Amino acid sequence: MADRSTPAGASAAPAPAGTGRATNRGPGRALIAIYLLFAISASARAGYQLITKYDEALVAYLLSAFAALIYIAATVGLARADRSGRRLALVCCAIELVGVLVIGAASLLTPAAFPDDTVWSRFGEGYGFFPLVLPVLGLLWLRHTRPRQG
Amino acid sequence: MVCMAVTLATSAAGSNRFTDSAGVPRPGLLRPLVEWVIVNGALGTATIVLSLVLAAWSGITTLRNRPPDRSHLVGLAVLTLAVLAVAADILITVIGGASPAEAGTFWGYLVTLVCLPLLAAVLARMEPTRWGTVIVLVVCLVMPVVVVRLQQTWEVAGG
Repeated sequence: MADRSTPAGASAAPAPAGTGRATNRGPGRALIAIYLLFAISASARAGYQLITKYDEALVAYLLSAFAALIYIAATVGLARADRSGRRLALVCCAIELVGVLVIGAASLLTPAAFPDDTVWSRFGEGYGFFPLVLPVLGLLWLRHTRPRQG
Repeated sequence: MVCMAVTLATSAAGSNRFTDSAGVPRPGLLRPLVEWVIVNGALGTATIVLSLVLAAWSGITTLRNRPPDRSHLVGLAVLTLAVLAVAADILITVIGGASPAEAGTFWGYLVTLVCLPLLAAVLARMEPTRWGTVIVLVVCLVMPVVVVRLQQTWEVAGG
């Protein structure tokens, strides 16, 4: 157990040269926990929808499944915390942000195209807008822990 | 949210998980005391209240820049017992002949609910800083949502 007066993040072990600060320590661990919850709930939802009623709204369910894969990959990337993990997390957070913005706007403009909700519908309203906030937090965290120049 | 939990399980007329279409209580194993508690949704409500109390305590601990300590682990242990009681209640009701409206989603939520406090405890112990306390806080805010979704997927189709 760390000393109680240790400031957040100070207990992180030094990361290998060129990889920046570890993304899986301190606030990163809390972020990974939230990503893990989203990976579980999105996978369960997509799996259930695809298995039981894939013919009702196939596009929406495939989008849910895609979102689930992105959340899983982002969780793994942040948890690995090495160079390739950082890149994986960066790509996933970017896809998430674009996805939630595009799907969010599309679900409002053409509701008929989305007979059933996805994780990203209406900017993630069904999940307390967390799908909109999460990639921003992820990108900020990756920026905060980026490798120092020189 | 708490009000929802109280009212969700009660229905004056018509069938629900506790009464059949004639309003006659379904057979159960631990009646009548436990039945009174469950019919009033107290088990779900207790889980929600416990979870929110632990969330508030974790919020205070986070603001004080402290890692999760024994009090949080004890709180998560109590929460684990609460969700196991909820699961036992549901299993008894299902054995009694009732079934959830949205079976797949319902069982998914139930498994998730039972795993959540254990997940929080493991992750919090891995991170002995204030951010470990944040993990407990987040999970304790998610649990009431899962309990409410559990009650919704039992009663009505959709979602």
